[in-house]
Amino acid sequence: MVQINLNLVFTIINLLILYLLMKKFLFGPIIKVMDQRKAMIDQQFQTAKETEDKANELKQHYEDALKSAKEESWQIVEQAKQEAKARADQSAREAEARTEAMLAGAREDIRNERENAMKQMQSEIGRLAMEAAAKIMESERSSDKDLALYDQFIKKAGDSDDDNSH
Amino acid sequence: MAVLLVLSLVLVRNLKVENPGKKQLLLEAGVDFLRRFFRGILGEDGERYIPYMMTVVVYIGLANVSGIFGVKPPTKDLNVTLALAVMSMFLIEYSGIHKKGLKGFFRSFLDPIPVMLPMNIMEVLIRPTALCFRLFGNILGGFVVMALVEFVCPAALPVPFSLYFDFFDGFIQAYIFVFLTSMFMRETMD
Repeated sequence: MVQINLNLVFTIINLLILYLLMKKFLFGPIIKVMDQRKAMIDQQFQTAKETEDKANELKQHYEDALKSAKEESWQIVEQAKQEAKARADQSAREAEARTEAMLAGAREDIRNERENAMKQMQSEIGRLAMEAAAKIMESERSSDKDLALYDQFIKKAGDSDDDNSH
Repeated sequence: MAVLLVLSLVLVRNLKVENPGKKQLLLEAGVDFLRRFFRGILGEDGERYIPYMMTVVVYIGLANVSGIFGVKPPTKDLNVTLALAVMSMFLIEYSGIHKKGLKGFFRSFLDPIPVMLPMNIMEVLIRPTALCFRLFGNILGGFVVMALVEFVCPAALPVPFSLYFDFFDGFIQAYIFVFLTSMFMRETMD
């Protein structure tokens, strides 16, 4: 029963044929397909990673843009505020200056008025004195009259002085 | 063999890269399992021997199990196991020569010390002989026991025995055969 014969050689030949056939028809295609799938999956992972990186980059970009826009708007607002404040200050200053000027003008006017009044008053006094003198000259040289005239003059002058001093 | 060939032809038809069917998934899972198993033992250098090892494991497995269909298992014949062992022997030594070159291969007989030279030379023949007789003995023994059990009680009783001797023992022997062959190849290549 246990003997070595030609069957050994046949078995080896058959085994080799089987090996070649199996390699060609079974393992070859399967391994090829599996490798292909693996490559495909790897590639997909690669693509996904690339896409993610790109998206992150874009996001960063947009965030930066948003940030700069915010800053810019803040700057604009700040500038506008400053401008408004400056304008308000300026107008306030101008108004003050104008009031000041008006006040000064009014004071000047008042002073001029007063001076004018003084001058008028003085000339009036002078005229009165002249009139009084003329009247005295014209009238008789009675002492009574003179006295009365003086009195009258002094009274007038004093009255006017009093009026002026008020 | 014819069965294997037809089966593989049918199974390999319309393989797809995308959306594999159930059949293809099962096939791929099996092939991938075997492939990973052999790659684990053989390493990257042994990539090219993997299809042969897979062929052998499928062949021995199917041959051992064929007893269940009432056919005499081919591996019960010493010539078949011897043929397998001789192939293994050539493959083991070839892998060593291919990896190290002829000079390096012969020098490896002096490892680890020159005194081991006769042992190493004997090992070349002993390894396949052990492989051959292990497989042959197991299958023959199983076959004989099965014949006896069937002679004693042809109904019901042979079922558990058949499960053990034909399936379990058959696959275990196929596994051991290729496992040891791979191990020896790895050893020779290192």
